[in-house]
Amino acid sequence: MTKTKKKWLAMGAAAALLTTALAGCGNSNSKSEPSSSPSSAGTQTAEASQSAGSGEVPTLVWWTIGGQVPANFDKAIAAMNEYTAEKIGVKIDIKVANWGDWDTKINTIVNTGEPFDIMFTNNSKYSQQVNMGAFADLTDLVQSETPDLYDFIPQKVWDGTKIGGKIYSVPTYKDSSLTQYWVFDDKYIQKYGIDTSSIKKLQDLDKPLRDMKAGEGKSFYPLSLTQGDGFNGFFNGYDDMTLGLPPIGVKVDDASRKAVSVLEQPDVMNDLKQLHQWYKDGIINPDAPTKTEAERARPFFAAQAFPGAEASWQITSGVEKYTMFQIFGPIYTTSTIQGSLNAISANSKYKNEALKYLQLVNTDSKLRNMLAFGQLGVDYNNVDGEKVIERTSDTWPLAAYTQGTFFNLAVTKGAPVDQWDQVRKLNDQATSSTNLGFALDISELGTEVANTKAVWDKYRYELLTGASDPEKMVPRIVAELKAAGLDKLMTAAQEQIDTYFK
Amino acid sequence: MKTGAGYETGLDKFNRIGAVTNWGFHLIFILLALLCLIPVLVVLSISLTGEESIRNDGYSLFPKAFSGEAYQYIAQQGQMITRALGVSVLVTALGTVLGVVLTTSMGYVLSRPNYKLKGLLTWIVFIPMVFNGGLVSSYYINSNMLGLKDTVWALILPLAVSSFNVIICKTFFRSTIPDALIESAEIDGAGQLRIYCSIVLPISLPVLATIGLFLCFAYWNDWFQSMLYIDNQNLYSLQALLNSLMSNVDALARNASSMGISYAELVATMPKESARMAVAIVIVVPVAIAYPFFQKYFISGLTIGAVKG
Repeated sequence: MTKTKKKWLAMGAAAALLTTALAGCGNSNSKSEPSSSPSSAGTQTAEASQSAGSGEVPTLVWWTIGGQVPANFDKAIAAMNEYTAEKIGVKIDIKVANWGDWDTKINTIVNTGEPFDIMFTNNSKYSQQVNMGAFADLTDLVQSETPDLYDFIPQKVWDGTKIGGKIYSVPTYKDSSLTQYWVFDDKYIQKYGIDTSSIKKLQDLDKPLRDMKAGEGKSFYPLSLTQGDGFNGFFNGYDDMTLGLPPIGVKVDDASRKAVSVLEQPDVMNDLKQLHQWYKDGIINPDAPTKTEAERARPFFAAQAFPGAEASWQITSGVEKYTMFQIFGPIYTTSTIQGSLNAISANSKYKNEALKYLQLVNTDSKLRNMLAFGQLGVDYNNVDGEKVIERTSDTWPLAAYTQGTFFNLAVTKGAPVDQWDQVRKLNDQATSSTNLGFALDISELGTEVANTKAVWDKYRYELLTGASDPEKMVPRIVAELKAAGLDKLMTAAQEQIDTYFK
Repeated sequence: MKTGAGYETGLDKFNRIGAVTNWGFHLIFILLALLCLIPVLVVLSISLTGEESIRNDGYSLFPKAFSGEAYQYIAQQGQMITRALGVSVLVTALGTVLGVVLTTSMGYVLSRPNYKLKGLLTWIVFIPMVFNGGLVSSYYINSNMLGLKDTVWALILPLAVSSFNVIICKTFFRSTIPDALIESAEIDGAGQLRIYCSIVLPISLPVLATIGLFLCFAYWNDWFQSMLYIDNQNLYSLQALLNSLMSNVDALARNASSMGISYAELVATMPKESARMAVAIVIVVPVAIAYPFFQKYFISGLTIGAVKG
């Protein structure tokens, strides 16, 4: 009897010890941010319980993506909060998931229903998260609460964020249309007399690249590729319906909106053959399928851009002059619009405040610059009001493209002053993919999507850097994709497209 | 040639390895050693090479253009790295002690034949070794119910007790502690706690060292818990920091298409190749220094369960 009592006593004591230890730790870590205190992380949003008692300014949790958080991060956020608390009575607590961790981290947060208010998301996750019911339906709210925001972003862009006809997120109105450029280091243009105006398709690059290879010698690779990127924009001609799986797509100008197996299309096949030929002839670097990081300075590359973008490339790569020319677009597809979205949690207590905050981000240059560049005086300095700034550190972890529009953002000193106007002009000229607004609903297709993506990931590095022979590999890849459920995906996609555009 | 050779017995001669075989083994082990050593040297070399030279000449075993700029970068980031180092050390020390106490005591209890719930509890310990609850459920329990999120406890508690270690302990105690020893202590009037602390533990040092080492390395090498449970990057462990530095560049490249024109700008802000390698070196050094001291325990620990004569 006494023994049992003693045992219980010991257990109780141990438990008490543990809880005090835990509590002590919680206190020491919560510091100034009330919402990061573990004790308040219950089923309700942390800040909800915090402000309910005191009637203070609510603090919204904003999950975003970024780099390593620097030491002055809290100070910079505090400065923003001071500004916004006064302006609209809202504060934010920005939580940064590292670029590499974002995928896992955001999935766990959404899956476990952890409280948050605003969340950055993109085409790789958005439709799935909406299907899980993670995000609030903003269709009416955004028009009634934040009409300025609603008017500011063009209707086409709003359409691109719709799922089942409803708006679940605020798109970032930036280079929302896709414009593909091909860029040459100007010194080679001069040296080899390259006429960029005659280059319209991949095959037209053959002669200039070969000339460069012949002239510069054996260890010079005019087309330097990396595994992740391949030949940038290779599948631009096909709308991936936000699936992120290039082997399935709809040709962007196909009025009949037919979902096709992209790899088997004659134009894609020709381009793949061209890449493979270049790889064999030493025009593409032989380590391309395993190379993860691009060379800083490349004689030729393809990239998404806007008129004037070469200025900043010249600075970062140390190349004297780049000559670039538009090769594709501008075009809106659902994917290009969904490249950066900020959604509001379905369980947030502060949906209106969150929207107001996003509106302010998109309309107020001062807040916009603080978010994008960091702490004024430490990370950046104003050169011309809020219009031109100079960055004085490179440690600010947040990426401007994830937050809000580019069109109230300051231009970095050295870049063309009309940079954002040029981007805006491209958006205005942009055509729309025939499939704009349609995003494939994969809630019933999870297994097939995962399996086909696994197959594609196995082969894509070698295929898109030209290392493998498309005539042999494409049939093999397609066969494996079919075994993994490609056909089912295509039929489902076609059915969904037909119902959506009926 | 040596004088000792004259006294060699026939058996010694018979057991001696032939010269060719001997050299053969030497060669194999030299090759294996090089396989382990060269990557570390390459990393060291990259960390000491100027960025310009990496771009132009690629990697080499000896830096072509010597430069300390990567370590300068580390010195600038010093605060971040020392803080992460502090977290790693704290977590490893605290976690190892806590883990050893919990694991061995649990293993001991399960090893006692006269404990009534032994069978049931052994199964309860054993089943999660084969099937686990998966990420979502454990995350939910740890962060939402136990409120461990954003505390060092999230780095310590989830790893402290593993079924595998408990079973090792149980087997060890069962096979090396004679029942008679415990009985004699009971006759002398010792309580359970006293038997455990004064009789069992002192003769179980090998298993303590083994479990301690397993835990020590598990804690030191762990980055996943940090990534999952820690939002406040000030609490990141060193491994998590390195992992994020390394994976960020890859992740950027993978998502290039959704970033549009911002991509080039973002890549430019990433730490340079040599800087990342320098961080790797900084992380390896403490382990490399500590390892020789642990090695003898490690070897004796590994032979636990092997036949002893």
